[in-house]
Amino acid sequence: MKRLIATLALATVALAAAACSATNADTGAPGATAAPVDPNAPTVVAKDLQFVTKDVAVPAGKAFQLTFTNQDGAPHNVAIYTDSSASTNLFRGEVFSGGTKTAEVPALAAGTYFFRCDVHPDMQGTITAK
Amino acid sequence: MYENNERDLTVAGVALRFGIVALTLGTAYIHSTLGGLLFTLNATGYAVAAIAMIVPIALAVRFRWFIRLGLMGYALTAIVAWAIQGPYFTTAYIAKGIEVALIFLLVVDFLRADGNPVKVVKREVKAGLAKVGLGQPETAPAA
Repeated sequence: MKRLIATLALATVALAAAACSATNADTGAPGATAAPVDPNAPTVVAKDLQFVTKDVAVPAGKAFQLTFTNQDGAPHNVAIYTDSSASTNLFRGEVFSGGTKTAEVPALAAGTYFFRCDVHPDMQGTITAK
Repeated sequence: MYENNERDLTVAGVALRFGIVALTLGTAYIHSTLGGLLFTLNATGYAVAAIAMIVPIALAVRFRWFIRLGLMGYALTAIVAWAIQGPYFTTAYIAKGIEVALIFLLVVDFLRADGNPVKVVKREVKAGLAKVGLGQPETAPAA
């Protein structure tokens, strides 16, 4: 029993150590694009736990690329919802810390949409498709 | 109780306590990297709990059973809240995995140190009521 408990304790400590080294290793989330990056793609910037870009204009009715630059050490993403209730998700970008990634977003009908960071829901903005 | 007997200083006892503190600090660290008030408070809570689990102050030693239960509840609440509202990303899964392991170690530690949790709570409630003149404290079992 003592050996079992000691083994379990060591295993859990190893798990904790692995977790500490993996906090910035979020990769492979849906939405990341392998296609050539459009230099004119709309860009959203996050800094100091806020979106610097709070209003984004995108083309209506066709898929587009969205570039997200996270200037924080904290992890963020861009998730698009039909409205501020955030009940219907239309697109969920990858969560990552520090860096820039471009994602392919499905076509949005003309209208106004709500986006936020899923990790920090207070970070919000508006996307207008027209 | 655990704190008053030699079992606490066995290899298993020390390893168990070390594992609990390491996991608690592990999840505290992860939460501290997430930014924002809520995550920072959560990280602070875990860090305080980690200290409370080992600090050799009489009050903490006396109520270590409550600290164990409190930390279990704290971790369980964090897991349930995350399961309900997310967000679901790699680091979050790792943090929740740590919290599940932490709860497991806390249960083992509680059973080793305090025994049946229902009996412990009953005994402590009785003792508390007795202190305010609402009953008799439970007599300690003969050693």
